[in-house]
Amino acid sequence: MIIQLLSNTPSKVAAYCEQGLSVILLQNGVYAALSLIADYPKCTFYAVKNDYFASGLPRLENLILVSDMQWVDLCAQQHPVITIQQ
Amino acid sequence: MSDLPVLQNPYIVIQTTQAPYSTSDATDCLEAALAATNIGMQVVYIFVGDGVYQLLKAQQSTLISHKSIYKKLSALPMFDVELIFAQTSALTTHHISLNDISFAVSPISDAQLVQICAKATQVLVF
Repeated sequence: MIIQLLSNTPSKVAAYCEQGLSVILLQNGVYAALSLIADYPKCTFYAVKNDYFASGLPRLENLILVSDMQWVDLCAQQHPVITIQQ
Repeated sequence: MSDLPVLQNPYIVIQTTQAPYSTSDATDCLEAALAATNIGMQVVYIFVGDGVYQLLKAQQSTLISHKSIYKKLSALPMFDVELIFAQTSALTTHHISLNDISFAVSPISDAQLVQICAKATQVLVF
């Protein structure tokens, strides 16, 4: 299972992060990267590269940037995907 | 915290509260400010909450096929929007510094924000 977060609402993925699940950040979800990485250092966090660079946020250690194709592959490999939009 | 400027004339406050690009709110807000100055209104433009993300200078918005909101914002003074503030608490929470910004944005405390809104003829929140 993998979680997609599309909004700047880190609290909405807290329960999944406590279980150690991976999270992909895209759209406004990229703004949650800093607090999620700080709060859940054992989880794996991905961000869609274009969305992340568009935001102007600085590069973060422990945040894996993926291309659109890699994002699709991740979702396919770790199916099912839970999407949190708001 | 710097003192607020004394505003003699009636003014409207426009608050921009959303991060850029995922919705049209940031652009709509900017257009509302430009429309207001076009008809001679004095505008106080304030970045609140997630709106402070619009102030990140390193935005590469062309990667997602958008024009840079930062570049548009930096033109605000040319359109007579000169009173531009950013909520200090949001800047702190979101780890954003005003030092890198290429146009004049003053920090404003939550108490000052309330004060400036209370004296405005209209407050628009996007």
